[in-house]
Amino acid sequence: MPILIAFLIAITISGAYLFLHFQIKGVKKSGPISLDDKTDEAKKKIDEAISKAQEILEETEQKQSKILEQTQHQAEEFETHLEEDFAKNASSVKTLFESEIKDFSDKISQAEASYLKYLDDLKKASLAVQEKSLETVKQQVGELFLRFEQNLSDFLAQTEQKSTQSIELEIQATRHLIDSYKTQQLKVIDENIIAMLERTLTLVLTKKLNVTDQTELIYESLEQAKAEKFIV
Amino acid sequence: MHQETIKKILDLLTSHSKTTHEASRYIMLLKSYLEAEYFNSPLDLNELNDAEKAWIKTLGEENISQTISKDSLGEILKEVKSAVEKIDILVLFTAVELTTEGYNEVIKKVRSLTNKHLLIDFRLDPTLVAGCSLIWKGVYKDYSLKSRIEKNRDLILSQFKAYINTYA
Repeated sequence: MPILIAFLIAITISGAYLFLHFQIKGVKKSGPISLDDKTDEAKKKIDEAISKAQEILEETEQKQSKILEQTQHQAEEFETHLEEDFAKNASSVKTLFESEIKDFSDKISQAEASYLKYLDDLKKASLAVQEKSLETVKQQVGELFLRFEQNLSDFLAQTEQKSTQSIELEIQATRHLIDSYKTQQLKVIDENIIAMLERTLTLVLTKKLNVTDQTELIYESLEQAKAEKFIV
Repeated sequence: MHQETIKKILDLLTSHSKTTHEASRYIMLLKSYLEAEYFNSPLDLNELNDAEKAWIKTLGEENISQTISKDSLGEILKEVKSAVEKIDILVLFTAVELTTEGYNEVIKKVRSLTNKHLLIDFRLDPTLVAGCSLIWKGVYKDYSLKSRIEKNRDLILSQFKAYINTYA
């Protein structure tokens, strides 16, 4: 509304300006005239313009107020109409909204029910799977223990056998060592006996045998060498 | 012609000397003796040992100066030397040291058994217990009581152990 008023004022002022402009142009076209006449004419014209402008302004103001009143009235009517429409729409929207909400709440309830049912089914399935898994695990553990027991008994049997074998080998080796040591020691004893005998004979015969006997023994040795054809 | 003389000298040498060194020594003594006989010069016996004196005595007993002429002395001695170098040496180990007579008896015995000229090198080895061992032409053979004990070792040991078991 204020824009409309301002627009009207601007049109009025433009009209007044154009009017004055054409007046002045007409004055210029009429040719050279005397200054005083024209001044008086101009003044007259200006006064006329001013009065016209004032009239227009007054008209405009009147129109403006009328328009204002009309606009106000229309605005009020529009506002009332709008309010009625709004109320109508609002109630329908409210009804629609309520129905939608009810619909939505029904759907939510349904969804909740189905979800709960799904959860329940899931729970049952999970329990079933859990039980099945437990059973499977028990079975596998039982099989594992059986295999372990079997392997352990096999391993123990093998270990026992190997231990027995190695012990027997050790015993045999030890016996062999003992026997060889015994043989070796007996051999040493025999050597010692012979050495002792030779030493004893050397000591005794040196004293007991005279030169003649020694010579006789040498003769015997030489005859043996002759018999063996050692000296040829 | 000189073979008989040489053989006789070698017999005497091998019956008295033991090693080639001794034989060489005895040949020198033979030469000195014969020179003393031929030229009527005295032979100094003071520096000689008993064996050498016995050798000189044997030469006198065998009348060796009659067998070898003055002219052939050098030749004969040369041949005797070369013959002595070729003689085989018998190394004889005894368990005890014999007397001179004992050694001579052994030399005689060896000569009678072998019937050849050889020199005997007597050495001492008390470990032989009794009897002797010989080295002939680089080969050693033990004929001593020790070797007999070794040969009958098992028998001796079995007898010994039986004795021990009986009386232990």
